[in-house]
Amino acid sequence: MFSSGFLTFLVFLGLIWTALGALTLIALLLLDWKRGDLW
Amino acid sequence: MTGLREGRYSFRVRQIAPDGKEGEWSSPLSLQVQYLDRPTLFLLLSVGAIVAGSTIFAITFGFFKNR
Amino acid sequence: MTLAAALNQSTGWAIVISLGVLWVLLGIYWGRRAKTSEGFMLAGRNVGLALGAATAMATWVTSNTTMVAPLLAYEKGVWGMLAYASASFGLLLFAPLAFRIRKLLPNGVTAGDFFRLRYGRLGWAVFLVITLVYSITWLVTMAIAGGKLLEALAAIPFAQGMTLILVVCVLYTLFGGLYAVIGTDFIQSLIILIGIVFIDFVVIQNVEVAAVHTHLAREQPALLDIMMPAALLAIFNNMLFGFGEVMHNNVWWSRAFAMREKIAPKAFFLSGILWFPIPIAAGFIALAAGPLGVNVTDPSKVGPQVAEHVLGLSALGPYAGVIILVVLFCSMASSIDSLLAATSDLLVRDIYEGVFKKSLTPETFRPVAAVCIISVSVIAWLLALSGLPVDQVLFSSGPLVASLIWPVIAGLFWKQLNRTLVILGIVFACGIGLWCYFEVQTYTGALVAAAISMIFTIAARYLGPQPLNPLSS
Repeated sequence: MFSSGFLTFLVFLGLIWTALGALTLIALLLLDWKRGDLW
Repeated sequence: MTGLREGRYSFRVRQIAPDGKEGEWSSPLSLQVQYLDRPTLFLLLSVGAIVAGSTIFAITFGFFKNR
Repeated sequence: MTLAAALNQSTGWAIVISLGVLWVLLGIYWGRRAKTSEGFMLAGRNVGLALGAATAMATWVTSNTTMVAPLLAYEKGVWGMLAYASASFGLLLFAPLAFRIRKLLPNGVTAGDFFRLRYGRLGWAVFLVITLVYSITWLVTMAIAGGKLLEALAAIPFAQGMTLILVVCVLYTLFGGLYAVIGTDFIQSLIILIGIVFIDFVVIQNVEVAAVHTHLAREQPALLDIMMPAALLAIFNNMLFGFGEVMHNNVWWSRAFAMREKIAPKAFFLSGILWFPIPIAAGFIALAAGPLGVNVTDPSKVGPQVAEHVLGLSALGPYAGVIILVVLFCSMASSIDSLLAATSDLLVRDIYEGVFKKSLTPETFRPVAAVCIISVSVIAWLLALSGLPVDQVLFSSGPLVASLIWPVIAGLFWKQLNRTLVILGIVFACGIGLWCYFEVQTYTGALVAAAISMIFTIAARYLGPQPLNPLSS
């Protein structure tokens, strides 16, 4: 059986990773925009 | 109703009125949870692992060979 | 209907219409960049990393991700969440394919170009049948999901809600082509990611993960089992279904052609990384149903139902419906627009130009593309209204798309091949895969089809192979 610790790890991993994803996209957009490389 | 292990289960329901009066139990509903048999499962899992693994290998190998 | 109508009708209409107006205005604004058919279909072939990664990620987040991931977690537990997350591998693996696609087809426009040039008219025809069945059913299931969502959340009649969502997506795709699709995808991707993080955060505030584990161990122990057969099978089957979907479909090939050459592989790889945690985050919402005491009568709605419950518990009660609607609408719109654009591109390039041998000029491409987009949407609209079990057709298309995985790999990377044997393999794989899907177990269809197609394709390398010529448009 998956342990309680593993489930907690997985849930927080999902949460933090998803949040980092949003931040990454924003950061990349600003970088591309600055360089005129959007599209 | 999800997440039950293999086996036989019986369920019955009854109503409890707001004044606390208990109704009659319903007749039991019988449920059998049976998973796919182990040999078939392991065969399919092996096929899955081989195909998925080969696919990943073929793409990776092809990419590095043709770069 | 198991979700209490969380919004009143007029609020529901207002949200969809105001978001719709925003997308359409942006579509018109961005669409002015599209001066040629290439601009319209491929956004000038110059899309950068941020927009490229976002569009690939957002398109792969469908209402299936936000609604079915919770359902899979609810029915198949931890492995269910991980099985769904493995669909991100399709995006990751498309990165090296995108690299090769740009090298082999520098002036390519659609996936059809590849199949026509590599496998001849017969291979092209087989591909077109498979991809049109898959793409249209995917589009229809999105439209149906949209209609059901508006019905459940805001009591808007199904036909009206579904039509509204389709019309919004058609309009901005019509005006802006791939520029509009990619631009709106970026905004939609942020809304989806932030929305899911927010809802997850609120769930965790209301119930500790340890409490979820305790409840599951007691009441739904199989969801925590490491040896859960159906869930384990789901992993490989879903992975291969995902590979097939991404590797064959013009939604992804058109993006590969639209991004700058060096950017395309990086963008797809990044999109896979960004997509991976979403089914886990969305899936957890469903696992919390039990401990939160949410009575789930329709598992297909467990995600929104739990989300509505916890948002109601927090101070955001009245806004619960708004948040859920906006996140789910974005997840649908980001896929619907891509499907409309990519499928109509196939009709324009492969049928209008390819089969009927007409040529597109700067004056004619917009009307032709418009006819194709509208035709595809009308077909989808009629199918969505028909009440036919389109979602069954979509899931049963797993074997169909999985049969194309190895033909794509071989056609891109190998030096010699027996094309006829490969095409035969696709047909056999489809037939036997479909039989397995219906007669053996649903989680075997894509797996078996991929296996059979793989065997035929590998055999085609050694039995009567012909050298593969460089592809030229």
